[in-house]
Amino acid sequence: MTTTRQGKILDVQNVSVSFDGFTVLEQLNFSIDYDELRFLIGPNGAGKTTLLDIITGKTKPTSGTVLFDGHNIRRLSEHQIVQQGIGRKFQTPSIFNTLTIYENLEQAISMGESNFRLLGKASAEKREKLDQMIETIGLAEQRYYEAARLSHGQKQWLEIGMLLIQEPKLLLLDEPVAGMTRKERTRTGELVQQIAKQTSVLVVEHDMEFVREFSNKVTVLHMGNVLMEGHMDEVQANESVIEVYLGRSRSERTPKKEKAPVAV
Amino acid sequence: MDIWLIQAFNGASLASILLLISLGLAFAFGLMGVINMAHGEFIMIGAYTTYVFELQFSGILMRTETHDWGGWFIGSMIAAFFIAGLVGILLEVTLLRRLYGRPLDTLLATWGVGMILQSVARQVFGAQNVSVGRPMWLSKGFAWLWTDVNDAEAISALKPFWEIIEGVRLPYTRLFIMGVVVLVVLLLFYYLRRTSAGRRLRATMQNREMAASLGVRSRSVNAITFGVGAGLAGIAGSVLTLIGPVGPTLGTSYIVDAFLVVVLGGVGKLRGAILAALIIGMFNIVMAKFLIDLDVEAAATVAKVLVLLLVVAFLQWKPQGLVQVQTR
Amino acid sequence: MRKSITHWIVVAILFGVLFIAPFFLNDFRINLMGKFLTYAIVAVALDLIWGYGGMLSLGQGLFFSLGAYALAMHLKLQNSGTSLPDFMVWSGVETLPAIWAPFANPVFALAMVVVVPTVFAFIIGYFIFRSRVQGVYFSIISQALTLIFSLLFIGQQPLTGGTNGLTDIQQVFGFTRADPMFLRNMYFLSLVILLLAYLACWQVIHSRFGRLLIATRDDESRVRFLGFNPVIVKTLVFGFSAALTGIAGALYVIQDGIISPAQMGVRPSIEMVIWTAVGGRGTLLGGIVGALTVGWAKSLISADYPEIWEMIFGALFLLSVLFLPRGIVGTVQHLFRQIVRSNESDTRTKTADDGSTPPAQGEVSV
Repeated sequence: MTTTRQGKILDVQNVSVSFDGFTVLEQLNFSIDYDELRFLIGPNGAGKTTLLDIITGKTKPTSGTVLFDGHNIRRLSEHQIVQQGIGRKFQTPSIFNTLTIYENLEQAISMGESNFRLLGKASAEKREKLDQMIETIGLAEQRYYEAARLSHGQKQWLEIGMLLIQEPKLLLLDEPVAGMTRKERTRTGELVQQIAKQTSVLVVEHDMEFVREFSNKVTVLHMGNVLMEGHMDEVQANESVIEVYLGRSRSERTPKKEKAPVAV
Repeated sequence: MDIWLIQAFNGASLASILLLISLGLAFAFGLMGVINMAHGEFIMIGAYTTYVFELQFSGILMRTETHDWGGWFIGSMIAAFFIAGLVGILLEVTLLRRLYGRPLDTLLATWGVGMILQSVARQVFGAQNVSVGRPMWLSKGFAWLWTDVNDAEAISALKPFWEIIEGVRLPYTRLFIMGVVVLVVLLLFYYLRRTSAGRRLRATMQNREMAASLGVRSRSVNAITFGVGAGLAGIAGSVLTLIGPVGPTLGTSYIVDAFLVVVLGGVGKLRGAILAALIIGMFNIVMAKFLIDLDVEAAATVAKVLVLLLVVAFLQWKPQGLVQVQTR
Repeated sequence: MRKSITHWIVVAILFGVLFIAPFFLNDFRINLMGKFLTYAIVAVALDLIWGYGGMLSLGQGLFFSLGAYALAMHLKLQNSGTSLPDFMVWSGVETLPAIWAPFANPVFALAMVVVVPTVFAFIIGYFIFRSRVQGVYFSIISQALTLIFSLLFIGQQPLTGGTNGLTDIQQVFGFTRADPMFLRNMYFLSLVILLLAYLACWQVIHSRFGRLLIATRDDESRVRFLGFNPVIVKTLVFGFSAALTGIAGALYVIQDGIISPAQMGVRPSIEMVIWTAVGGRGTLLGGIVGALTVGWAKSLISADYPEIWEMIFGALFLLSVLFLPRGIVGTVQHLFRQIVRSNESDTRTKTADDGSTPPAQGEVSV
């Protein structure tokens, strides 16, 4: 995969979403370039998770278009969108606890094969790739263990491995460092940057330190719309961003998740 | 036109019985995740309660040689609620409590319970159906109050129906059943919204952990709720004696429709159950009539097929049922 | 590896015993066992969708009956020779209904044994699974389905024989059904098909498709985000299970001679679930053990205590759900595993708990 294509891999155009009359996203425009690493921040309820749901087809927009790699994916269902090349890592590790590590990865790499072919073995080529990935995520010794026996961190790596082995064109990471130690956060950040060399990545994150350390371009979402986009330095200096974060934290004494709002 | 009015009326009466039955199912599933396959047997218990009351107590509860004031019947409905309710509480405490979090196991276990209860009924009351009499004001109307009861001719001329429009005659029994159900549902609303026990129930249904941390004893809430649901089925059984015979398998014929009401109505909301019961009850009866007019064989069954298709089709559109608890 | 060898040894013993059993049983018992073997096929097929797919179908009786009716229709026509089947004459039918005509062809009838239940399951399954209703809702809808169809079959007397169903099938493809030799052969035929069904299900489960099925059972949403369509996975397996169940129904009817709506309703469908539950869901072998055990128990109890057998049966079942939730095979398997585990050195558990091992840097290959 040596794509150095110009232009946008993902283009969300004029997307609106409302649940029972409550507007979550309003005329949102948002795009990511090929091989870009983008961070998405914003206070609670800004619509970050909803935006991920829209991109992955979990939620259908009330209006608007979602273009991925030049195709309109708005009408596709979740699994079709994954087959198009969008992978998503959820906040909590979601792997299959009753399957072994190997089987989890094997399931991932079998994407797109017909159900009939799934009755047989995976091709030698795929099995080789699988062995590589299992080494990469450092779980080779535990390959025949049920995934339930893994530690929290190991489960996170397994899930990332399952995503990477599918070679997505765009990877969505929802709070990848939540619940991680400082050391683990740094490692994850480096890994994300590594991944972003070959594929586009969108990271949703609350941890501002992490964002500052590893981001290049940041998009701030507020009230279902893009408040601003730019480098973290610009974002932190921006008046309206400060207003959104500090204003909120001043009026609401206990902000829920963003314990450390933008340290200005 | 009149015939359709009568069908709608019959539909509404079926709906009211289905509602009474499905409320208990919805409680058990919504609150405890229990699929109660023995629910039909609570109906049977209620029906046999009324049967026993007629045999044992009709003499002391307002039935004389000439006049049946039906005190025994009213009494039996109340007794049916408590007896079925007690059996329900017993079932919850001894069995279901051990199976929480395993809905499919509750389904299997309660099926075993239902089998046992049916078998017990067969031992006690025999496999044959029995029938129960009705208070005079249901079979003859109120005119008997001023008619000489020994005058057979006059009695036969009495109208067992209530005429709303000329030619449209509605049987008293079904009117009575609908009245009972409306009353019960109103009481239930009152219980859920105005009494502290009801509020505890609703709190537990919405958020078990939160309610428990606020001091609601969810165990007793479960038992009582399950008991109330069983009691409602008992009342349903009691009034069902008015429209048909009583047998050990009485409950099984209603239970599948009642489950469909739960599926269609969505779990956890009274409004959904009411709406779904009305739709399924009405649709069953009216569609059957429509099919009879079209000369379709076994119209009632074909109508049931259409009801099922309706439910499945509806779930394509709203998998959560008619009324869902709002969450974002 | 060792687990797998133990499994095949157990399978070999079980089928070995079933193979020599007829040489020690009288004709009546052989006939009974032959029917239990068809139950075992049903239970294995049900375990595939319930134990591994999480779909508790309370409508398997429908597929069983559809298979049975399809073959019985052909046999009925054969038995009646040039005249109409007896129940049609009684209902005053004068010409053979159009839906019956093609069943005069044995190949067509045999094909329908598989096709009708499968197509039915595909259609129903697809729409239920598509709407993403929860597992329990699927159970309820499948139950309603089987109830309604049993009523429908009862109602269409001239077409289906009504409550009595299709009775009095004496000749089966030129053989006399009641002939002990024939019944013995049918026993072996059922046993062979049970073995094939078992092997097929085992193969399905131990393929990537089977693991996808298990994954779907555990977390359907995750399967979607892995790029698979769980609706298709579930529909396919449901259809496959229905096909096996239909074949079992056909095998049943040639050994029993009667098929009626009584085999189709809610009750027989739940009994099928009981077979799988008692044997042990999610063990596959449990279906066979459960169907044979429950079948025997039922025939023994109902013969000795005709009055209260239902009570005893209900109680036994209740107790097995309460105290033996893994079922017979599941419990044995569990004990066996515990013994094996305690014998093994604890090195395995040590390596599993050594905490997170993040990947080495710079090795990511996308």
